[in-house]
Amino acid sequence: MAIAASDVVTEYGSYYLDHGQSAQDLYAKLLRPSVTASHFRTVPTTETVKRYGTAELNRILQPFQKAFTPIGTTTFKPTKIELYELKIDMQEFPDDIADSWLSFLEGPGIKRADWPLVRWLMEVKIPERRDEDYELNEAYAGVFAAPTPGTAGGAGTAMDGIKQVMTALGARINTITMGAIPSADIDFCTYVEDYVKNHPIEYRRRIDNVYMNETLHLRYREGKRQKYNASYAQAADLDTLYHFPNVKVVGLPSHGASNKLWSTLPSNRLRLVKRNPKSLEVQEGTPRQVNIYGDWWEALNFQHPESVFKSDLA
Amino acid sequence: MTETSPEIKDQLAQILENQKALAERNDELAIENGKLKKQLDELASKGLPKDGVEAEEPVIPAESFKVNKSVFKFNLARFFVPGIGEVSATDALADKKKRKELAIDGKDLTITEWLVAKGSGVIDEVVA
Repeated sequence: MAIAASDVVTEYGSYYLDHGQSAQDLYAKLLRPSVTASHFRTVPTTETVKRYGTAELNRILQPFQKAFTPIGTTTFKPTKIELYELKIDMQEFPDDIADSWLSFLEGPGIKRADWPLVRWLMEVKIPERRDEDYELNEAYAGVFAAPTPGTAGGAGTAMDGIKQVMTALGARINTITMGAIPSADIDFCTYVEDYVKNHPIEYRRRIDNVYMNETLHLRYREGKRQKYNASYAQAADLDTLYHFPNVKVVGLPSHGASNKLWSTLPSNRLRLVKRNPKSLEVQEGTPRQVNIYGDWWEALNFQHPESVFKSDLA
Repeated sequence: MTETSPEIKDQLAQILENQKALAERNDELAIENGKLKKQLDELASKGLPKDGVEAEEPVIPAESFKVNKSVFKFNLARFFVPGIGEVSATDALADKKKRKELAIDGKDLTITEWLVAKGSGVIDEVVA
């Protein structure tokens, strides 16, 4: 909404002295990259509601007899996935940095929309911040809430994240009751192994990852090291399951403190996207004011909810 | 009159034996048929269709249950219980069987007792 440069002005003065400073002299704390969405298959769409169907046919094979004895019911169920519209709105007065140490970001003689400050925001700072906001607030923990007109919506309300999606799908998602997370790492390793063992047999060799929060991921690695008391040539070995080497444990930043484990077939994880999430536009509005904005539609969801498994904790 | 050859006599004996076996099997099937018809009539008298009933979608039971003086309610209609398989909340509520597969510290437990002991998220404690 504004450039807050008062601390720089206080420290370095409200004048510009060229000591060769550049954008490389600007440092920032590390932000979390967007990881969760990379585990979902991106499906571009022009629609804002995507409709799929599931089809199940029950038993049809039976012993022979002359009489015609038909069995087998084909059950169709709808799967509707609504996309959510997300946006970035920023408004800056680039002149706020003109008379300060930061003036190397000024662009004398060119439009403010083309100033290095604006380019630096669009190419560096906004993508970093967008990715962290998406990862930590929306991708897993988001619960959509329509914003009050004229007021910016709160963090975590732009879309339904994976956790809310699974809650909304109710009994269509398979819940495996595992109970409380054990306190000992070695027991937690067994907990994860039991979680996979209790998938229906046809799924155990087909799922690729068990997703959880990053702390639990680390606890699994420690637990596996203790349990099997072997040295592993590659760090990646500590991420796989002993009896199911096709399954990897993956810690996602988006899961925060959630104790939920979940898994599904790789092709079942969908990220539906309308418009390019990375696209930004810039416009000089009222004199000397620059607006930077971008918007897109997206949803993280599952094509066949009946092939999704989760543990029973929040 | 020519005498019947031993081979033909053997074949005839075999045919007669087969006929007897088929007749006995027929009698067994007739008895079983009668029993099945009786069962269908009993079901029909209870208002259930003779063609069979399609499995209903499981629902979250409204009833609560008590374990160790605490009251709980299910928040999910169906779930997998390790060692047991897929269970509906309604069936779990009705099931009073102490199971070895769900034993904790050597004590066999019912499904609901096990869910409480494990701190499962498929049940919520009802606070008065």
